[in-house]
Amino acid sequence: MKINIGDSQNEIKLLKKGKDELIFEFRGREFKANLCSNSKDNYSLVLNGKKLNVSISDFESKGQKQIFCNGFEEYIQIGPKAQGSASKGPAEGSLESPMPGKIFQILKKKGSEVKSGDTILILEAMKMEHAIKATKDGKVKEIFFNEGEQVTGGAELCAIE
Amino acid sequence: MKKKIEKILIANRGEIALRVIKTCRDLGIKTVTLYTHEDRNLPHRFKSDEAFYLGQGTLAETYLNQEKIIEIAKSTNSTAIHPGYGFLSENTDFCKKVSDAGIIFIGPSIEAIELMGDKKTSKVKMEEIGIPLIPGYHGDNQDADFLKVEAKKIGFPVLIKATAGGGGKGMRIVENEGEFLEALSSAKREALNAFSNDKVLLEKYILNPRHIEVQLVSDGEGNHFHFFERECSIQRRYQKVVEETPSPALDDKLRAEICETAVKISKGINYIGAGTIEYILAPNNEFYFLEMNTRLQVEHPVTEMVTGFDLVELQILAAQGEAFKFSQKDISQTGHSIEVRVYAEDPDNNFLPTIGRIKSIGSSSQEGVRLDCGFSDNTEISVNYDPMIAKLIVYADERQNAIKKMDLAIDDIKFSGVKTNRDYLKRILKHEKFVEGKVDTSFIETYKKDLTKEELSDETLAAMIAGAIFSENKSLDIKTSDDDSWNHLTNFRNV
Repeated sequence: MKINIGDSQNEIKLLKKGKDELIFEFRGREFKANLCSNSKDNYSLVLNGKKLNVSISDFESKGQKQIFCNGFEEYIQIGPKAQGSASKGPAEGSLESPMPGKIFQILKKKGSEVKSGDTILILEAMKMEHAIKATKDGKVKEIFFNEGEQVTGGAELCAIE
Repeated sequence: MKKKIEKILIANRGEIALRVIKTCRDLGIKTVTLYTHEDRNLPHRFKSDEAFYLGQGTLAETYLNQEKIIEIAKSTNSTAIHPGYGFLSENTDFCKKVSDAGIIFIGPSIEAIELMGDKKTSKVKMEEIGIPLIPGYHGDNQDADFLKVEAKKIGFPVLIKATAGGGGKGMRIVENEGEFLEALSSAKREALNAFSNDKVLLEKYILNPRHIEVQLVSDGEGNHFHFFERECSIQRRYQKVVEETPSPALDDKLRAEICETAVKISKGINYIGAGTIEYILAPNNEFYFLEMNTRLQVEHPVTEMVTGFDLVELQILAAQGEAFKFSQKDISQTGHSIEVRVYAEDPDNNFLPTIGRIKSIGSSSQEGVRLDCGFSDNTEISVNYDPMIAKLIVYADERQNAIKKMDLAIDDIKFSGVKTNRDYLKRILKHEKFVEGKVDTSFIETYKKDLTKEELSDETLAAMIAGAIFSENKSLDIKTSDDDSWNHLTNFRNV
């Protein structure tokens, strides 16, 4: 069974899955978990004999679960990542908008030569400027937006070949 | 001018609007708030006595719409306007229009905002009254090549700063001559955008300084008081992240010197109301005037925690022209207070802003924990406003206890549904240098590596995975009996 923890893929082997009991192998160790009680997002578990509280919230934007335990916060997704999710990652040579915002300024024109690290355009979000930089050397193949346009997070902004 | 304030229009949003409402309720003053389409579900709309809709437009058409705000103040018979921080709080045009309309602006005089709001004129004045300043160029000549020559004279690294700026906008550190012109045009562009004024000044960049500031409040009769210092060295891109008081860097002598210098400034400019003197403290304990903020600061709660004074109340009293009924020796600094700013951002992905719906904020049951937050459960964080969504403040008898208390308080305040910097704040609090109080303004940059996400233990991850799988089981119903829990503990029988 595939489990995504943040951006990393992990595997667990389910040995037993009951309504309130789970036995699984994770990173070469066997874990036995029992669900004692749950109330809304809060789950009380016993893991290998130790009592723990876990708080779980569906994380709408990425189909992940936001999980709080032992003072840590982590994002976990059960099963393979959904196709087309924001975590898919950009296609080779393309640059994605890291967040929703507005195209503030375009510094490189279509067809211009760029070096890795060159600023291609400036995105404005939350009243701050963010430089979108080339990730490789090449030629600007296409810029998909004009200055002043609003973009969503994950939108493909430009392509470099 | 003495005039009793009976109703205040709060020209702001979110947590600071709620903060002002709280004091107004304590004082029996009515409040009027404003909200936009995006903010229609936020508590500041509902906790005031009256709330007015500003529509769906840009910031300039809504919270910065001076005419409309003054019109609402008049139509509601508001005696005064409280600008909060940011927005119109240091806008002299607005301040003047408010006064012309016969409404009290809760803040200093127009002259004081003008003088101190401009980084250049404020420095000239400080020089005049004998306050230590950092070497730099504060002149009118804005020619790029001229500024480059001045930068060389000061010696790199040099800091470019928008004279009208604040909050890190229009500010750049330039390490060498080659980077200067590009940094200058970028800073000017950002300044023009943020403040409609692209004038900049240059300053020697001091390595490893601390940021120390002093809270001042002057009453309506020319009495000036300080409420001790705040240390705000933990900053990222010039945005403060963690603030505390007292500062672990000051001994009694240095503290007295810094605080008295602040009072001297206040007297020197005939200040009225609440203000903050920001200093750069160099590692050799030399301190330099940086700027004055002529408004209430975001981090004012830590001062309230250790002094016991309500700074918004003092602002209102001063605006009414009243004299304070206490003297400087009645103000003392007791215990220790820390504030962390909760930002909707992802520290593990270049601090990019995040958005989303807050499912549950959470609450703390500890004594001495204060949450100043402008959101409530099931409200949306949008891209159009500042990413700071809350301030979490703790108070304890001493610094180490305050740090421990904050760590627990962050666990309780989860902001589930939205990715925030909570986890990152905990990493800062646990960092050895922070615990020792050995910090400077480059802390976040210097210890970048230490502050990256740590690998969680297999046990913690296994518990999270187990929880995730259990939560997938939709048929699971709420079990309220806790008896089961004991049965699962090894070697324990609930008989």
